[in-house]
Amino acid sequence: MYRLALVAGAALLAAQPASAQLASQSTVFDGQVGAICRVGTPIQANTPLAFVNDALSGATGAFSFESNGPVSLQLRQVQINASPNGTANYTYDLGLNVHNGARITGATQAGASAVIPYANGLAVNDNFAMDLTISPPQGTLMAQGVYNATATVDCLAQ
Amino acid sequence: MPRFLLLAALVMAPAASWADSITIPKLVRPTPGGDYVLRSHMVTTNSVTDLQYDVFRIGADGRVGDAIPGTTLRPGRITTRAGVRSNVLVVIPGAEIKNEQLLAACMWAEPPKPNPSVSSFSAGFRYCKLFTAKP
Repeated sequence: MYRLALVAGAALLAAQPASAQLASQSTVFDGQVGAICRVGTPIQANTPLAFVNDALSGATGAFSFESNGPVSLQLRQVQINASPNGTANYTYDLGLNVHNGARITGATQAGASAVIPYANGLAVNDNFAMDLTISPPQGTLMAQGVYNATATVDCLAQ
Repeated sequence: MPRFLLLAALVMAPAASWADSITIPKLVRPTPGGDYVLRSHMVTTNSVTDLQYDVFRIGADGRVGDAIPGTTLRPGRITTRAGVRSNVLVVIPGAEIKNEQLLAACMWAEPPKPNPSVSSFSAGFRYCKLFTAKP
């Protein structure tokens, strides 16, 4: 019996692979997410201006941003791309508004708007809109020609 | 890898799907040479051709102000792919930072050119990341 056990054990050992061991490998995944502020609902690239009440004006549809932390919004100084001769003293009144609601802040061709903080960040359904009114000095009629300006919203991430 | 190669290379590294973001240190100090050297990377949600960036002063009222004169940007403009990180090198002249101040690194693309025969206004978007420069 003893001899049989020895033979069986030797046969068992011979059948084992030379290095039977559990193999494992691991890796560490890591990454970083920065302060994000991105466009949620995009704003239309160009907004037509219509001559109403002796001024040129127009308004965008709804647009939004979304962020993963506190941000602030600011309107940049209005950039005049095209205007007829003799209109250097016209006023470019740009407004950032709650969509279908009140004005939040304003800017002109002379300077940027105030900075509006959003301590809780912005979500895709926080809808805004912009409007622009170009006005001549009071009592004068607007000069004939094409007017074009660029309105930019800054999103400042902390 | 020699340090100068790291500074000169524009590394495009695959990343997870990120959104508009600029990664930059919260506080930057001058190098021994006196200038402020920032290694930053930018990510855009969409692919953007001719993305511009620069560093601006922040006024006492929190407004983004003028760009800092003499700032070197490498590269000058970049073309991004959606979600892919673009590395840039920014060098701000030390003489422009006389005391601790809040600055903003901003990136933007020019809006599409309007129809020249129709009065309109074009809308743009600029992302800015705040940081502090301290002598």
